[in-house]
Amino acid sequence: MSQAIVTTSNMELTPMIVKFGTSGSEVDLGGSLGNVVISAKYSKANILADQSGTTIRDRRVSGVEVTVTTELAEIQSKDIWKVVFPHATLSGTGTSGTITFNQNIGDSDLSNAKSLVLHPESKGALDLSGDYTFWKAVASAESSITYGPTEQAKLKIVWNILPDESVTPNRFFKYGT
Amino acid sequence: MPSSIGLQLVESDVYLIKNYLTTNMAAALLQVGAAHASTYPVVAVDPPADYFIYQRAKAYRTPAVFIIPERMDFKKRERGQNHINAETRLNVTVVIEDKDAERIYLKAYRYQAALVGLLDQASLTSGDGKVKIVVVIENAQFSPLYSDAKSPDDPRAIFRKEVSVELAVQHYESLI
Repeated sequence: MSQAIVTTSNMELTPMIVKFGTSGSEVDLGGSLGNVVISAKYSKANILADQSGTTIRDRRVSGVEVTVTTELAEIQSKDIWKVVFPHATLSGTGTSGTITFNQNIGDSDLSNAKSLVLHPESKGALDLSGDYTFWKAVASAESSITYGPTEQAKLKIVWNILPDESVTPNRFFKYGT
Repeated sequence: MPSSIGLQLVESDVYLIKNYLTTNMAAALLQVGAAHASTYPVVAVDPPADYFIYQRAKAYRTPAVFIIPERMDFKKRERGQNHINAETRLNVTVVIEDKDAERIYLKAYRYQAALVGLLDQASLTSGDGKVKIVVVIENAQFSPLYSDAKSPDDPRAIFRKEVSVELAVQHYESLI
């Protein structure tokens, strides 16, 4: 019988600090619920040949899909609403501000995309080794909020990660410093 | 012949937490006291006089901290791990004594704040690096107020109270 060599210090169990905004000065979005889920996928196209029927001879990268999902708890702050619904109009700030859902046909995701940083609470503020940095994140702008006597109100947010076209090749996110 | 020898399991959980609390509890109580000073009644809270890893200690001085595991769940069916990836249910209980009934409640609250502040999501690693634990707080419980006197109005009465936090310690350990 043999056993795996397991380095337990490499394991992780921690909530995340969620920060969003202009690169380098992202703002802490405060309380979150429902974990933070990062999903990444290289979409693939099958390479086939009639001579081999449906047998997949190769698969080639055809695209990248990256999303980050969580729930934001501090829903009385209109700044949070502006993050979840970037096409809405924010006037004022915090709890005293107002968020207005105007018709905003044609508003661009890319023009609203900002930097999203996830920092594990298990690491010190200056230890960026566990950080996720998404250079162009924009919320899907689809959410719902439930008010009731027994369950806390919260806003689900799904960030779609767009390519950062400022560099070649275009990049989506990095994990680590 | 066992497949793994030298496992530390719950013993490491107990001592990692004991050593962590021994090192940090006094400072944590001071910080809690300072944070509460402007909002809540002022009460001096002594740091623990002793730490125990067993029940039924006799003639101990208070405040006394008891670090007592209840069970270790290896969660093999749930997690499908190739190492120890378990959950230890463990209680950290502080026994407090005081002559003043109100003050003993306040001390219990301060100890609760200090314990939760120190332990919630605390990540601790054994000296040899083979064990890592992450502490998840499950709940805090307060005992009734006990007294050694027949009447609580007896001026000689000394009250005793316990505050306990239940931990779900996530335990990661290499099998070799």
